[in-house]
Amino acid sequence: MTPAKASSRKTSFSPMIHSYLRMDERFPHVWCPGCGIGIVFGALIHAVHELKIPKKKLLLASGIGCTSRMPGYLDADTFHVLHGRALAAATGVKLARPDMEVVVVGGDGDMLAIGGNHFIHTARRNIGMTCIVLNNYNYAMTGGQQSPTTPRDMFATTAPYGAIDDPVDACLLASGAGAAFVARTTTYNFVQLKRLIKTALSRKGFRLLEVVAQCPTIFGRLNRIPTPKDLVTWIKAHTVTLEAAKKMDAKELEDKVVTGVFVDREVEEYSERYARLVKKVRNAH
Amino acid sequence: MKLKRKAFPVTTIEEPKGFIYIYPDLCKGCDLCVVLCPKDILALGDDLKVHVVNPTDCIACYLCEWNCPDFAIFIEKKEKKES
Amino acid sequence: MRRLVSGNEACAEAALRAGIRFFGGYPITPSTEIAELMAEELPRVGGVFIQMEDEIASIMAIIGASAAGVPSMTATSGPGFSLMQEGIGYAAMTEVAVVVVNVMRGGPATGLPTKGSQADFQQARWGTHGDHPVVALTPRGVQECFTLTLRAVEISQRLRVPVILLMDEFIGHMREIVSFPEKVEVYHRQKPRVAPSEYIHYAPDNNYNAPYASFGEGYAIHFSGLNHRSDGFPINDAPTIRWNNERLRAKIEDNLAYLEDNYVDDDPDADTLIVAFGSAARSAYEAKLLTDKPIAYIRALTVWPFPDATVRRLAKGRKRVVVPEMNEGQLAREVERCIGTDTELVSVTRNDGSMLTPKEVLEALR
Repeated sequence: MTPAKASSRKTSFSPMIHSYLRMDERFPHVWCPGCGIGIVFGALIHAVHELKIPKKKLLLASGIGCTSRMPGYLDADTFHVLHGRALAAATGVKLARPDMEVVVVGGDGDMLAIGGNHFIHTARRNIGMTCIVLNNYNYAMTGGQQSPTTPRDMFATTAPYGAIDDPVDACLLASGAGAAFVARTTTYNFVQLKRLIKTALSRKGFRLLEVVAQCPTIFGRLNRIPTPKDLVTWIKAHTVTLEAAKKMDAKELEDKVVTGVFVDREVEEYSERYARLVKKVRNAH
Repeated sequence: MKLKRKAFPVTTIEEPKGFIYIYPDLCKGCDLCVVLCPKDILALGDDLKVHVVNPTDCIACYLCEWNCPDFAIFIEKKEKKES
Repeated sequence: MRRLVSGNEACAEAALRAGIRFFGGYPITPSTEIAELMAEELPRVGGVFIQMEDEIASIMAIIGASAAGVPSMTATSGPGFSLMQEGIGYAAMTEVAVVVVNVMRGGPATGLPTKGSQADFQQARWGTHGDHPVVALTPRGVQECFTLTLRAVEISQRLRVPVILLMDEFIGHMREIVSFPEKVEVYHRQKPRVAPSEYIHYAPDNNYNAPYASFGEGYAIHFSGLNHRSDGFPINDAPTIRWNNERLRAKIEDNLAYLEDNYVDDDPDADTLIVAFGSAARSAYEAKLLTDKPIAYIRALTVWPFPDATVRRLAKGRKRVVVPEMNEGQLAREVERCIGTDTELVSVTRNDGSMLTPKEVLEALR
C-alpha cells in the first residue's frame, strides 16, 4: 500500500467543524473508534452552521452517559447536568431565555429510563427545544447494561441470557405525549440525519429526533457484531423507511428500525404561550 | 471562555477533483471511511491511521468526511474553473 | 406597611421583592401556597412560574433558569426535599445560585403532612452525597420568613451557592402581623469584566460577590456536575480535585462572618445556656422569660454553617446547655460537639407533630 505523497501546496483550508469545537488538549475526543456519537455531533454542527444559528444563542444540554460528553466539546453555552435531567434543566433555560436555541442530547438510557418522566412532560408541554436521542441500545458508558431500547433477545451485561424486556419506541412515546415533531434516522444515512436535524431545529415546540447509532466497542462486541463497519451494516440491514414500512405487516416489522418523519405539526411553543399569558395578566391590571 | 486551542497537524493530498485533508492525531483507525468510500481510495496504514492509497479515483463525495466520528478527514472540492 | 399574613405568603412576597423571577415547583403540603402565590404574582412582574412533573424536575428547572441569568427558587417539604438532594448537590458543584424553601413537616416518608417539625435539620446539611457547600437559614416567625427569604436570595446570588430556607408548617401556615419595608435592596449579579476569550467561570479568587457569566451572553460557558477545573471541564488528577474541593469549601469557610446570624443574650450571671432555632426557639425564649433564673440564650438564624464559635464561647464555663427542638435531637448533636465535657447537655425534644411548649422547656430550666 503506497500512500499518496502529501501536497506541498499551502492551503488556507480549515474545517468548518473544527471552528465549532473547543479543540484543546482534550482532543481526540473520548468516544470509542467508530462510535456513532461523533457522526451525529458532526451532523448537528453542519445543521447549526447551515441554519446560521449564532453560537451566542445556542445551548447544548445533556445528562450523563457517552452522548452526554458532547456539550463539553462544543464551543457554545453547554450544560452537562445530572443523569436523565437534561430536559428539565433545559426547560429552565428556555423559559428564562426564550430567545435561545436549545438542543438537548442524550442516550437511550439517559432519556428514556431515568429521564423518562421528563421526556414525557417536556414533550407534552412543547417547550421549545430539539431533543436528539442517540439510541445505541445500551448503557455503554457503564459497560453495556441493558437499556429500555435493547431489542428482545439481544445481549447486555445485565441481560447475559438475552433481554426479555420489550423495548420502548421513543417516537411513539413522544408522539403520544404530544410532541410537535417526531422523526427517526440512523447514523448510516448522513444526508437524512443532517436534513432531519435541520428540519427539527427549524420547527417550534418539542422536536424529537431519535438516531440509531452504532456502539461497536460495547454493544457490538456483546452481540458479536464487534467492528464499526459490521455494526453499521447491521443497522442498515434492519432499517426500513416509513413508506416501505407501511406495506409491511407487524411480523416483518418486528426487528426493523423505521426511519422518517412520524409527526410534524404546528404548535404554539410553550414560552410563547407563557409570554401571551403574561401580556394578558399585565394588561388586565 | 478562555481556551487553550491546540493545533493538530494536517496532511493534504491533492486530487483531480479536490483536496483531502487528514488529521492523523485525530484518527482512531475505526475503518469507517475506508469501508464506506465508494472508490476504495482509502486504507489504514501500519500506524492504524487513514491514508489515501489511490488519489486519482477520488470523486469528492464527502462520504469519508461525513462518516468520520473523529473529525479527522475533510474534503475540499476544487472549483469547476480550476480543473 | 403592616399586614396580617402567613409565613408562606411572607416568603413568596419577599422572593418577588428580592428579584426572584423564576419559580419551578411541585405541589406538596405544607408549602403549596408558595407555589400558588408565585403562579399568580410572577406573571404580573414578567417572571416565569412553571409547575414541573416532580421535585427533581423542579430543582433542575430552577438551576437551568439561574444558569441562564434569572434568579430562581423552589419550595417544597420533606418528601420533595429528599427528591431534590441530587440537584442541590449539582448546584453546589457547579456553583449555581438557587433558593430552596423547605417547609418542614413530620417525617420520615409521608409522615405528618399537615404538622410541623424541625426534623430535616441535618438533611439540609448532609442530604446530598459528598462534601459540599450549602447554607441554611431558619426563621422563627412570619416576619423572619420575609427577612430571611430576602437574605437567602442575596446569599445565593452573592456566593453562587444553594441556600435552603428551613421553615416549618407551624410558621408556614401561622399568620402574624408583618411590617413590609417600602424599599428592599436587591442584589444584582456582577457581570464579568473581561472579554469572553479571557473569561474563567470558576476563577480562583471569586467566591464572594464575584462577577460571573450566564448562558446567552456570548461567554460559551460550560457547566458539569463532574469534578472540574477552572474552565468547568472534567478532571481526574488529585491536585486539581483538591483545588476544586478547596474552592468549594472556601465558599463557606471564607465567608463565615458574612453568613453567621445569631440572636445572642450572653447574661453573665447565667450558668445555663439555651441554644435553639426556628419556631422551637419561640417556646424556649418564652420559658427563659418565665423562669426567674438568668438564662443565656443563642438563637441561630443561620444554622448552616453552624455557629460553632459562638456556641463554644457562650457554653464555656457554664454548667448546662439546654437544646429544645422538634425532632429527636439533631441540633443537640451539633451543640454537643461544641461544648466541653464539664458542661451538661440537656436535650428537650418533641417530635409528635405538635408545637414544643414553653412548659416543657421550663422543666429543663429548673
